[in-house]
Amino acid sequence: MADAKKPLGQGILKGLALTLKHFLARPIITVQYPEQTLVHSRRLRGCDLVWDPERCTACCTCAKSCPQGNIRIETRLRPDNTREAVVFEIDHGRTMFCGLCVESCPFDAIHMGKASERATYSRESLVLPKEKLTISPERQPSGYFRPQFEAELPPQTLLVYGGRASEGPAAPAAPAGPPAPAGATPPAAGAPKEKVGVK
Amino acid sequence: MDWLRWIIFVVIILAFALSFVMAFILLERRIVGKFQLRPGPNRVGPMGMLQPVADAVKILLKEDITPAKGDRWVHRLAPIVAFAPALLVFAVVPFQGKGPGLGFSLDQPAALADLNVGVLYIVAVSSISVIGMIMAGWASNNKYSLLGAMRAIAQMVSYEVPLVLSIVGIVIASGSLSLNSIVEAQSIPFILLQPLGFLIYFLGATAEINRAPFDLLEAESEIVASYHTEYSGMRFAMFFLGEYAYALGVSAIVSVLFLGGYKFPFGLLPQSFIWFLAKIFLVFFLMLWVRSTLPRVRIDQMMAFAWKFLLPLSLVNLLLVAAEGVSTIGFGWAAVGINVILAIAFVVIWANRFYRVKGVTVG
Repeated sequence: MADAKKPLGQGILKGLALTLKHFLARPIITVQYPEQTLVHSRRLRGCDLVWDPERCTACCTCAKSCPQGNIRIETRLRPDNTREAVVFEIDHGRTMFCGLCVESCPFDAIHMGKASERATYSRESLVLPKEKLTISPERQPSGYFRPQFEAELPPQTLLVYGGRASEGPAAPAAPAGPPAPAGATPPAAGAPKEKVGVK
Repeated sequence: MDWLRWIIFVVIILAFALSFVMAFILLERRIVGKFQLRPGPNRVGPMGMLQPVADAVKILLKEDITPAKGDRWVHRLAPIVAFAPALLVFAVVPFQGKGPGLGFSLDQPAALADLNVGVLYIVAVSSISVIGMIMAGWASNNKYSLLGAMRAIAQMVSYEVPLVLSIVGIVIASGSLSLNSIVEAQSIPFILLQPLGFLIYFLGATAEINRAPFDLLEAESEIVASYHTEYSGMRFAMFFLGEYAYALGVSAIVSVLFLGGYKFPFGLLPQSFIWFLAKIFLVFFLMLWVRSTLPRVRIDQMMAFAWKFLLPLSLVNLLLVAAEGVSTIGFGWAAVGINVILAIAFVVIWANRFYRVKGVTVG
């Protein structure tokens, strides 16, 4: 009855040998999240809004365009008759990230952010004051539809693209070469560095 | 004095079973994680060792829901009926034998009760959990729970047959139903003397306690959790703990019946409960290894495996052991050689009876 086919059971033995090899000899390949992180896509729109105090003229257009009234601005007149924002707060707990403030800003001073770690222990700490809204290495603007930012953002590191996780202090020893940007979006050639323009 | 001894042993067994169940829950997640090239839970406490405690605290805080139109008392009783037999199994398991051991010596075997029908007791008691399952499925007033319970019973009843037949081989070889005498009879561990019996018992027990690859009752990725679909909170945890307690029980029974219990292999070192515990972990590791390797079987494959593969082989094994017992071969090293070769031959021949037609195994 048994023809020339392979006897049943060989696959099971092979599988057992393979899993035992994995158990004994293979290192862990998953990203150990709080210690290691992957760099997201440059075009990711995270749950974040960033603000550029240099560009802002405190015109309050963003606050007026916000359908939820989430942006609170207090302004002051400078000696040279321009205005600056003394208080600039966005409630990240209430915003729906519709982006109307970003679209409406005539001076490109507010952008959708790339950061996605927004967990806190209290609701109050989700209301970000202006010191926490400014652009920093942790709070990058999203490169989506903003080629001037996309060119400067670090390339994406995903395991599927052959990149490796950026390693923190507790990460296992691995060659700390420059991350391979193999499938990540290439820098937009000739992207205008200056202001995109008022719509 | 007997009362004192019983109370002490009840405390020891409860502490042993519950702490080992906790350890098994953590070990399963960590070891399966390692098999899958990920670390497993490693955040709570050193190396994640407090993870079971955190899980227990979490599950205790959950609401205990009884279905509105369910059978309330049966629903409440079912987890207890399913869980309690798992602890009862340990009443007859010997932790250390009579006489000098590693460090200290005992004047009688260290077991709650060294029953002279211990094997029979284990087979009987471990089948009670089926009643807990059908109670849970019935009382949930949910047709999927009931269907799951029926599948569970079909599975457990089917696998009981080769399981018991493989134990009979042990009983023939040792000449006793008492677990302590079975351990004492193993100057050669019975896994060498009856490798086929070990294979049948291990696979049958894996199916009996619904572990992968026979976990199609509670296949997390495919169906709802069969008979404990409607359970939550501590009552769900009872089923969950019960599963691990049965895994512990099966590990202990396999250690006693096939691996020589508290004896060090071939008596190279004095007997001790430490060897027994080490063997329990070894058998549990074997279960995890199988779990992390094999994909889940279908219900028809599972039934076919029990009735068409394990049952004939267990009969052959029984015949072989009985023939050796009455012949001049006996149960020495000659029988080991014969049985190892014959076990491999039987498995290969019988497996080759099954062949595939368009992906369906027939035989």
